Amino acid sequence: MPSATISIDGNAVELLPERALFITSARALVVADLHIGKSESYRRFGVPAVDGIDEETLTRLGRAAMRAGAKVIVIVGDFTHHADGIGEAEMARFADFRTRVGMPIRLVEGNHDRGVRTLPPEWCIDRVGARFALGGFRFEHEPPEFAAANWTISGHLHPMLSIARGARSVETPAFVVDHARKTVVLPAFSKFTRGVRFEPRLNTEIFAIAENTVVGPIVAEHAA
Amino acid sequence: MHAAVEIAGAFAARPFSATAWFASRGWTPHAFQLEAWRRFAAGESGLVHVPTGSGKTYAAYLGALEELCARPAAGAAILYITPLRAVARDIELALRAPVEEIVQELGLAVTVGSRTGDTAAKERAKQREQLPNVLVTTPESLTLMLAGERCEELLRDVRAVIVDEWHELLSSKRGVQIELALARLRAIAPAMRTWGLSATLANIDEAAQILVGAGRAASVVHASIPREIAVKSLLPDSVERFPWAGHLGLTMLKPLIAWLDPAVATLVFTNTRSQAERWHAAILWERPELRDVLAIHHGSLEREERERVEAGLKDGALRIVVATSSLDLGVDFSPVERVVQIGSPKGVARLVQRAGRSGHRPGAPCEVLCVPTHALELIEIASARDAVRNREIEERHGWREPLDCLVQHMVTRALGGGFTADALFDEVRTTASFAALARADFDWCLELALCGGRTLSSYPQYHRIAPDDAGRFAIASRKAAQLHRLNIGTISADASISVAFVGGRRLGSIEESFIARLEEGDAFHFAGQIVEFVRVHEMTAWVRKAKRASLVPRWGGSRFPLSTALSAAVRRTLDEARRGIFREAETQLAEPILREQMRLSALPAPDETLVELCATDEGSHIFIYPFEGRLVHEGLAVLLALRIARAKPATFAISMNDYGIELMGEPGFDFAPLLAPALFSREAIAADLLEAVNLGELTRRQFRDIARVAGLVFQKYPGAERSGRQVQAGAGLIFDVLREFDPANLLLRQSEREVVERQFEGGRLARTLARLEQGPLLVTRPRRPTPLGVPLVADRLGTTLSTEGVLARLRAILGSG
Repeated sequence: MPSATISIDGNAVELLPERALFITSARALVVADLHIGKSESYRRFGVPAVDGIDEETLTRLGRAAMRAGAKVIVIVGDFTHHADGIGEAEMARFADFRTRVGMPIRLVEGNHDRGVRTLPPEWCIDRVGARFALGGFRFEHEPPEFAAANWTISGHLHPMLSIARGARSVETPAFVVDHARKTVVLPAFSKFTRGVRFEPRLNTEIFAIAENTVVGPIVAEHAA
Repeated sequence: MHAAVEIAGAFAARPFSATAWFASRGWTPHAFQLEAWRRFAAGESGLVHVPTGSGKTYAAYLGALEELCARPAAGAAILYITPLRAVARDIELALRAPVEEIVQELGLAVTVGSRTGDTAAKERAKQREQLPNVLVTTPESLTLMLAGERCEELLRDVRAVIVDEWHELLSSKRGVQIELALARLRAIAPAMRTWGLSATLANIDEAAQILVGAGRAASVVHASIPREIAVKSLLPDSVERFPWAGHLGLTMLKPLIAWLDPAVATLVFTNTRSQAERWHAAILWERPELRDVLAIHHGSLEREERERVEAGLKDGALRIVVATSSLDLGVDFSPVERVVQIGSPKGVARLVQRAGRSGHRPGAPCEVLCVPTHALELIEIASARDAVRNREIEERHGWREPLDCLVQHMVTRALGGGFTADALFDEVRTTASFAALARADFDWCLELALCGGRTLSSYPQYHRIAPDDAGRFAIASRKAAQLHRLNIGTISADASISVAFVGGRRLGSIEESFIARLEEGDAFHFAGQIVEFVRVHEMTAWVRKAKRASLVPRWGGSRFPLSTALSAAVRRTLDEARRGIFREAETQLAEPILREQMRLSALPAPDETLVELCATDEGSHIFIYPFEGRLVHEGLAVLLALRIARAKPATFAISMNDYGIELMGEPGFDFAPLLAPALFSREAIAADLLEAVNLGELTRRQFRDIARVAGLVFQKYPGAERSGRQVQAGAGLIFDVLREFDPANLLLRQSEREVVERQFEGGRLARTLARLEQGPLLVTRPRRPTPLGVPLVADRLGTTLSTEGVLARLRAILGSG
């Protein structure tokens, strides 16, 4: 499964097709927007939704952490979807995940997490507030409007590359590396999401995930 | 509403006679009316087939009324079902006229009332105890009655059910809803007779069979009242002034305005709501003095406004009304003298129906003036005249086994006194739609109603019915009952939101996607007004009056395809042109265009299909012209694109209209060697189409309605109405889930089948492929797109089909940059 390795401010960073970013020096696996319990909260709202979504999300998370050799997982917000979505099934599923994946998990709070005041203690998730720093990077759920001194890693937007030429068109999850704002926006880790469309533009590199391959950088010249 | 006229000790001194009642009014019954009364008395069921004109209501009703008077009933004896809630009142008045006489002259007590969504709560409460003898109702209200606990008691003396506008209901899921309701009624009241009223159809016997149920004898009473129909047209001086493509051309606006005369009541029909708004605005712009006598009528307007327009037409206050098919049905507007059809009518029956709205003086011919909106419509109008002359009318077909309707019916039956599985299975198999239903499919539906089926069973809201110890199914909870009653029916609302003046009245509804693109201050035409957008708040788009606007809302899914009958006529007209015959004024006018087509390429002979291969800077094009309507062409285009791209991964841009299709591949792509009979094989049409369709969004869209009818998502919640888009999001998610986790789900299979049968007119598509397979193909290589091809190139809407994976496509896009 080919990933892409890029250098940000001299730090080697690997973009994984599992929709995760790996900071080599800190051995930190960074993901965003897992929306655990989203299907359950949809159901409570009366909209039927999938079984097995959270299971797939957690399996992929464990696999990416293992494959990259991570010693810590940083979740840049929206780990959960809504307090209503954490039922017994979710509790048991995550506890089971924790028996397999034991490394520390740091949670930078996202807008969805704020509604979930307390997480079950046995999940061993360290809530670090709205901002966090590690390995020379800042972590903040919503991309900042202006560049900070260090690069920021964010989520929230669920970016999708949207590009077309002639009869062909593609819409697929993507990493967005915004040099103007010194921010990397991660694709939503959950597959049960819809996202914001991004087209290649100036000062921005896009790395698209297509069939388990990370393709990029896609830059402004690629746009028709 | 409910005229309870009680006369103590009343008893029939002498029987009511339809013939005598007609005579007392100075009327003479038509032969078809006498025949219908006789057949009813003989215990038959069937269909009264009335091409145009009136008298159909009494044909079906008075026979039943005669019998009711001879053998009075305590409760409901005659049910009259109309698809249009708005006309229930008018029908009630018509049904009451003879009853008043019966009450006065014969001293009999017969009650007449109606039960629709408009019926007051007090009246409904009364009806829960006892129904009037003669009851006017809609399919939805009838189903709601069947969901009542005491429905058996209330309906056991029903002797006649009359279904109005059966030709219209038949081809919608409301038709299936009626089939299932009728099966239930026949079980409650075995002696019940069913009579339908239908306008002209090519397959009238089939329509009658569906109405009376599988395997029962169906009579057909034909009313042959010959009425001449004159199809005229308003022609431009020459064709150069016509836009090549585009359906809203207002080129003929000035000539039409010169022709319109407020002294002569006129209905102006358009094919879409957008077109109605545009023509209404344009007429008003040119003739502002018509403001008080000009109005607009279409299905997205607020009901009060539509009723005001209908009343204005009837009493003559309104002189010119621009309307869509919203005025095709319903009561006759007697004062209407002239009918205009903007653009091609696209179907022969539709043109006949609309023409029938004009000139109600006995013996007077009806007349319709067609106004072409682009050059090729000249050919369609000439062809439509030919088809009307030859009485070549379309067929309409019922639905086969829509399981969503069956699931809904199961919950209805659970509410209406409960059922056992075996008895219900036998009962639904008496309908034509479910006559061949497999027990396994029935049981699958039962499980869906019981617990949500395999995928959703762990969620209590899908446990809608529950069996008792004896195996009898009843509703599972009060909440399930409430949700089901709110969501009964098969009509699905568009994803639309309501439009209202700030602090004022509601105008109607517009699709959310249109509103989403607006910014504050953007002005648009709606409900015959010019308004500007203020904001969206609480599911309403608030607007205020404005002076000028250029935007017109678009409503999806409202374009009619060229019908089978009309497309056959169009091919005949083109064949005449090929042989140099230009008989009609319209084809004479279109002659330069048709000659240009022949110069650049060719026109096909009746047994040929024209294929054009052409290269432009944009890419390599193939044009194929079967003239079978846009739905068939949509299917054909994706089918051929898939078959070509399957051999070697490729991506095509696709375009289609009523005349043909265009596929565009990369520059240099050679379509010629692919034009072999195998490309058009009828084998595996469904599988190929589904493969192509699964690459697209069609099944997902179709599934939305199915999920709603089957009760997996709800359109209405107690206290709040969910918007269509919320339903769509919900249904879209379930669709994804089922596709991944339960691919054998029967509702998915149903969406696929509906896409093939309805979206692409499956049977017609197969016949088209047969024609292409057997050939001959007339292949030409024009140096540029021809008059037939240009509209396809110009109307390309960004539809593509690709057999390349995401990665291959992405690499191709990036590589060629």
